[in-house]
Amino acid sequence: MSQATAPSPTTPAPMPLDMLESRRVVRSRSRVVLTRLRSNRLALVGVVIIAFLAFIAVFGPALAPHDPLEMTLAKQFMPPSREHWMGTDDFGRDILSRLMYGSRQSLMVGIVSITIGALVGMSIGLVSGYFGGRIDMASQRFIDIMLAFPDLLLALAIVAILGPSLVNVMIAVGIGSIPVYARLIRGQVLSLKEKEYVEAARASGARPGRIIFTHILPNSLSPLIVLASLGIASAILTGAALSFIGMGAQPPAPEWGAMLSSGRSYLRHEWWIATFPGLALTITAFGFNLLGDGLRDALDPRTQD
Amino acid sequence: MFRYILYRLLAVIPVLFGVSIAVFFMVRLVPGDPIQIMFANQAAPSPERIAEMRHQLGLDLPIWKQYLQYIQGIAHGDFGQSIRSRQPVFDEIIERLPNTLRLTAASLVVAVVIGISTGVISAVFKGKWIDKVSMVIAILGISIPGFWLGLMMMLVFAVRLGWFPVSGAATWKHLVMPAFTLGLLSSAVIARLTRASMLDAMNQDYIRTARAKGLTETGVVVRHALRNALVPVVTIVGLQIGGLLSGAFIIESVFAYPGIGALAVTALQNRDFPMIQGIVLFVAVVYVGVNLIADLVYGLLDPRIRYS
Repeated sequence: MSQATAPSPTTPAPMPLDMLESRRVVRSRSRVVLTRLRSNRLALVGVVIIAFLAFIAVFGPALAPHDPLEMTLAKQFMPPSREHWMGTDDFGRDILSRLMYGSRQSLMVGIVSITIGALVGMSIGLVSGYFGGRIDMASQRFIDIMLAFPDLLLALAIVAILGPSLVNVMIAVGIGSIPVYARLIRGQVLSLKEKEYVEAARASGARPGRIIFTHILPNSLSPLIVLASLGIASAILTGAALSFIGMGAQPPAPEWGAMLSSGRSYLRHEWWIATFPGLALTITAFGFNLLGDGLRDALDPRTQD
Repeated sequence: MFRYILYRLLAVIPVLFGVSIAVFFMVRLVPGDPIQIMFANQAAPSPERIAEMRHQLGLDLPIWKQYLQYIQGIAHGDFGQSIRSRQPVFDEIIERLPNTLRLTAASLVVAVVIGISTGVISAVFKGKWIDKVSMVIAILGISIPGFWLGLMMMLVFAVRLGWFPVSGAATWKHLVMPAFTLGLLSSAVIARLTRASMLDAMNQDYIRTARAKGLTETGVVVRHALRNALVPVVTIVGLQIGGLLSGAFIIESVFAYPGIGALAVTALQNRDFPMIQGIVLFVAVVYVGVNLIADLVYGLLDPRIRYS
C-alpha cells in the first residue's frame, strides 16, 4: 500500500495510475478474504486436511513404514495391527504405505486435470467473451456440444480413445472440465468489458492482450479459484472412479481407486483392503470441498462487510 | 410461451448434430488402426476377416460417406454391431434400458425426498445445530466416492446384516442399495441448493405478509416459501438426472446391476467401440432431452425466464 502512496526512490518509473489503483484494490481485497477465511472454522479444517495431504505427498516415501510394492505372501490379508496399522492386501503389501504413496497420484490427478481444464477453459472464455461475434458463436456451440455429455461420460469416452493410464485420466478429466471454466470466464468477461476502467483502457489505446491480462483476467479470478477448489475434489473422485473400473492407474501402482477395486473381491472377510483407500479419498475430497465452500463465502461480494 | 419452446427446440438441433459428429469421430481418433484395436484382446484375425470388417464398418469409404452412412443407420435404429457379443448394439441398449430407468427413477426419488426435506429443515433452523450438522453432512455427501459408498453399504447391509442381496436385479430388494447409493450422493447437492433457495424466499416481502396475516409457521414455510423456492430446484433436479445416469455407470458395475452403465463399463474394458459409441450417443441424446425438458419446465414455472 505504501508503494501506491509514496513510490520508493528505487522504483524506475511510476506505474500508470489505473494499474496502481487496481493493485491496491486487489491487495486490500485479498486481505479481507484472508481474514474471512480465517474466521471460517470449516474452511480452516479444509486447509489443515489439504496441508496434511501435501505433507504426506511430499514426505510420504521417507515416512512410509514399508515398501508399497514389496510383496510378502506370508503376510497376505493381515488385519490392522501394530505392525501394519491398516493391515495388508492380497499380496501382503502394507496398505498404509500404499495409501501414503498414493496421495501423490490423487493430488496430481486433481491438480493437473484442473490446471488443464481451467487454462484451456479460461482461454476459450476470455477470447470468446472479449471478441464476441463469430469466434464467440463458434466456441459457444463447441461448448454446447461438450456439455451434451454428462462429465463422467465425457471422461469415459476420452479415456476410451486414449487408452487406460493415469496420465490419460488426467487429460480426460481435464478436457471434461473445460466447458464449465469457459462458460464461467466468458460470463465474467462479458460483464467486465462494459466497466468504465476497461473502456478507459481501450480509449487510451491499450491492445486487447493488455486489456485482457491486466484488467479483465485479475478481476475474474475469484470465482475461478472457488470453482477450481471444488473442481479438484470432483476431479480426484472422477479420476479414482476411472481407476476403479480399470481405465486409470494400472497395477501394481498404489493408486487409491485401483486399490479399492482390488479390495472389492475380498469385502466379505478382509474389509480393510477396500475401506481405507475409500476413507482417504473421502477425506481428501472433503478437504477441498470445505476450502472451496469457505472461499466462496469469503469471496462473495454480497457478504462483503 | 410457444416461441420460447420453439426456440429451445431449434437450439437442440445443432447440438445433436455436433454430438453425432463427435461420437462418429471417436473411433477415428483412436491412435492406430481401429480394426487392430478392436481385436487387441483376441486372437489375431485373418486378413480376409480384417478386410470384411473394414467393409462392414464402411472404413473403406470416403469419410463424409462414412458419416452419412452412420447417420442413416442411426435414423433406422442401427447403431452397429457389438464386437464382443455380435448382437446389434441398439438391441442390447434397449434390453438393458428398463433396468437403468428403474434405478435412475428410484434414486431420483431418494435424492429429491432426502434433499428437499433436509434443505427445508436446514433453512428453517438456520444457524442452529441441526442446520450446521446437516450442511456438514451434505459437504461430506459430495465428497464420498459413489463406488466406495456402494461397497460400504454392501459390506454393512448385505454381508454383515444380510438385509439385501449383494448384487443382481431380480427383485425390488436388489434395487434398494444401488438406488440409495446414487440417491444419497445427489441428495447432498439438492439439499444445499434447496437451503439457499429457501433462505432467499424466506426473506421476501410476501413471507412477511403471510406471517402478518396470521398464518401458521408451517403454512408460511410450505405454502409460500417452499413453493417459490422450488423453482431453481427443478432445474438442478433436471441436471441431477444426467448426473444419476452417468453415476449409474460406476454404481451399476459395483452392484453387478444389469443396466446400460454396467454394459458400458464392460464395453470399455473390452474396447468394444461400436458398443461404446452407441451408449455414449444414446446417453448424450437422453441427457440433452432431459435438460431441454428441465429448461421448459423452468420457463413454465418462472415467466421471467421466457422473456429474457
